[in-house]
Amino acid sequence: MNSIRDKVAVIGVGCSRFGENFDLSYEDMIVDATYEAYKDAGIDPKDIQAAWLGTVNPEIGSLADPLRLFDIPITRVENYCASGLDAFRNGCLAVASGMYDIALVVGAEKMRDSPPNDTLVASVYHHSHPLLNKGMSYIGFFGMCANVYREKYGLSEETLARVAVKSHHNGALNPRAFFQREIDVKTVMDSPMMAHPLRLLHCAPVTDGAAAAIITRKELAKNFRNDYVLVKGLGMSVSTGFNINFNPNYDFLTFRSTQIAAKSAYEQAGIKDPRKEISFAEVHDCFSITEILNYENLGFCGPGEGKRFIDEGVASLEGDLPVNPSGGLKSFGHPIGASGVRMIYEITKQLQGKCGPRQVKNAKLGLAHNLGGTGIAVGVTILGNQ
Amino acid sequence: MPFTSLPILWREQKQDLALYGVKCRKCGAIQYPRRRVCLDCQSKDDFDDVRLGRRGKIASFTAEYTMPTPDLPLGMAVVDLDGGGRVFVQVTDCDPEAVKIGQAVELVFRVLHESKGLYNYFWKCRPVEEAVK
Repeated sequence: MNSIRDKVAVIGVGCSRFGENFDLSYEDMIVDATYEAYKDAGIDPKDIQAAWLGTVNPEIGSLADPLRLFDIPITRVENYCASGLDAFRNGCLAVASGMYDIALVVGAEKMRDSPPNDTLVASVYHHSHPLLNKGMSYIGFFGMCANVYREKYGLSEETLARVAVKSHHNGALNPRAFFQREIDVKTVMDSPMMAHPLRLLHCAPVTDGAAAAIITRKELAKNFRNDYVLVKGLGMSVSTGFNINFNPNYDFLTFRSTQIAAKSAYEQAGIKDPRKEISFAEVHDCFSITEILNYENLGFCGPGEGKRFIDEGVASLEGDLPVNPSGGLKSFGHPIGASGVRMIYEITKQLQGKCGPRQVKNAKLGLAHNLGGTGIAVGVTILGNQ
Repeated sequence: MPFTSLPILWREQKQDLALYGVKCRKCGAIQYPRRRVCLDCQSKDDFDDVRLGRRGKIASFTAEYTMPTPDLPLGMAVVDLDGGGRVFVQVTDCDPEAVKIGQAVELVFRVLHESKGLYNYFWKCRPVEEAVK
C-alpha cells in the first residue's frame, strides 16, 4: 500500500458557531464555515473543482444548494459519527490522484431543530430492528464500557469526572466553543445519572455546527500560503457492525477500529512511538470514558493506563501530550458529520500557531480521531507542519 | 411507537422467538443474531442451527435514564449464555442498578412493546435468585 504522506496540503479552514443555533439553518452554517475557509485560503468559490460533504441526516444534506456550487462533482459521505474525517479522507485521496487541484471538504449537521432527546436516542429506539437492540443507546453502550473498565482496572468517579473538567478548562479558552466555562469535579459528580455510571456532564452535548477545509496538492500549496499544513497519514477502519453487543469476542475496552486506523496512519506518517512523536491530539470524547479508552486504543499508553493519563495531567493543555486543546466534543457538542472536520480546523490552527491562550507548545504533528457508532468505524488523520 | 414489521417478525421467528443462533461447522463459533458469513472465519452458509442456552452471566450492564419508555431506569445487559453465544437484552424483575458483572441470570420471554397492533415478544433477563422466590 502507498502512503498519502506529504502529497496533500490543507490551505484553508473554517468553522461555524457550534451550539444551540436556533437562529441558523443547516445551510447558514455551511455558508459560514465554507466562506471562512475560502477567505483563509484566499480563493474564489469558482476555484473549487470537487467537494465532499460529511453528514448523517439523510433528508437535508446538500452542499450544492446553500453554496450555489453547481456543475462540479459533489459526494456525500455517511460513516456514522466518523463521517467528517471520512469525507476529509475521500477528498484527500481524490486530490492526491491528481484529478482535482483544489477541493472542498465540509462536515455539517443540524441536531437542534428537534429537542435533544428526540434525536439520536429516540430515533434508534423507534426506528431500529423491532426486537434486537431495543433499549440500546450510545450513552448506554459506553456506560457498559465504563462498568467493565471499573471492574477490571478500577476507575474512581473523580478520575472520570476529571476528563470533563479538563475539556471544559480548554473550552473556556476557545471563543468558538459552545461551553465556554470551567466546571469542577463535584459539579460533574452531582449531575443527573443518564446511563449508569455516566452522568449528564460526562456527555458531549447535542449541538449544531459545520466546519470546512480546502485542500490541494503539496506542489500547489505555496501558491496560496506559506504556512500550509500537510497530510501525513489517513487511517480508516470498519471493524464491527451495529450488533457489537452480540459479539462474544468484544471486551468493552478495545476498539479494534481505532487500533487499526491508528496503526495505518502511524505507518504512513513514519511514526514509531506515538506517545513521544505526536504533539497533540483531538480525539472523539463523546463520553468521558471514551476519551480514556481512546488514549489506550491509540497507543498513547497501555491497557488500563488511560486513567493515569488524566490523573497525572499528561493530557492537559500544559501536559506532555495535550488532548482536545479545543475543548473537544465535550465543549463543542457533536453535530455528527461536522466533528471530524472541526478537528481538522483545530489541528490546522494549532500547527499554524494561531490558537492564542489554548495554543499547545511545539506543535509539529497533530492527530485527529473520529469514532463512529459503537466503535464501528474510526478515522485517524495525522497532519503536520512542513 | 417503535417500528415493527410483520415480514421481519415472520422471517426471523426461529431466531427471535425460539432464540436459535448458528454454529459454524468450520471453526465452531456460536453466533447470534444469525448471519450467512461466520464472524470468526468468514466461511459462508456453513452453519448448524443451535438453540441458545436460557441461562448465562452478565458481561456488562447499564441502567438507562434516556429511553422513551415509561418505566425508567431501563436496565440493559450483555449476557454470555451458558453453552456459547452472547445476547443483549433488557433487564427485568429487579433493580437494574443493583446487578453486577458476572452475575448469573436467566432469560425470560416477555412482551417488549406493542405497535401496529402486534405484540412484539422477545427475551429479557433477570437474576436467577429472583426466580426462586
